[in-house]
Amino acid sequence: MVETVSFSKQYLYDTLKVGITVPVRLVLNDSTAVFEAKLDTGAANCIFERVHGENLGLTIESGEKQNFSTATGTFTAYAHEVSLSVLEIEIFTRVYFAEDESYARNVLGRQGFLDRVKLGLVDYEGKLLLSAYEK
Amino acid sequence: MQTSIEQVSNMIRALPLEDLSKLREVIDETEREKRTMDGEKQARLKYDLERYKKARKWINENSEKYMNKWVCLEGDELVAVDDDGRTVYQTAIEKGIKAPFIHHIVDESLPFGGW
Repeated sequence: MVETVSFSKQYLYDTLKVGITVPVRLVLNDSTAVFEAKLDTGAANCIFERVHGENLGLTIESGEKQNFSTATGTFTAYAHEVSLSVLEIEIFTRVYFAEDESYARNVLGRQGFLDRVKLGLVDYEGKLLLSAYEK
Repeated sequence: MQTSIEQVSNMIRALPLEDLSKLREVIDETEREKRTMDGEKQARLKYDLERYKKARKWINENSEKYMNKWVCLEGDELVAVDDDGRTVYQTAIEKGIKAPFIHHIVDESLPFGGW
């Protein structure tokens, strides 16, 4: 069986950089934060550095607490609802901000991002294809 | 509940003749608005990606010098640098940048082992 999938956006990412990195825009009320994040199919959720949440005016610890496991231990993050845009595909979604200031990763994981888009990847060519998910 | 195109077609067929021209105006206006919005989004995306590519090039060339610092870049122009990402963001906002691109320069020389 051959299945054809079409995408509305194409982005050529830097294959020399660690991970598949894309620019991300978070918006909450009148504040906007723009930074890089990595696509991570192994991450359960979208998890960002604490500073980005604070720059949006959030009190990080006011969100719902969630512990996450990693290969080497655990860390804590807090959930907040924001508008998340990747390549102008805008989603109002729940993301997490790490409690620890030393947490220095931004990842786009499954719930809240990958489950809201259609994603195609040709890593050899550094090509990312993306569309908003529609039934 | 979402209305299907078939349901809409049936509703249109049931309309009296005088309402069809009003409907055509609504469709034309909606199409114009959506095309304008799409055009604006495309232009913004193009601008954002060009700005980001310049910023990324700057980071690649300057990461050693600014290791462990937070920086704000407007294209390839360094707007602010500090040990604290909140200070960098605030400085950028005070300089009139509405959507500051903030980056924490950390050592990425080792490959990431995943979660």
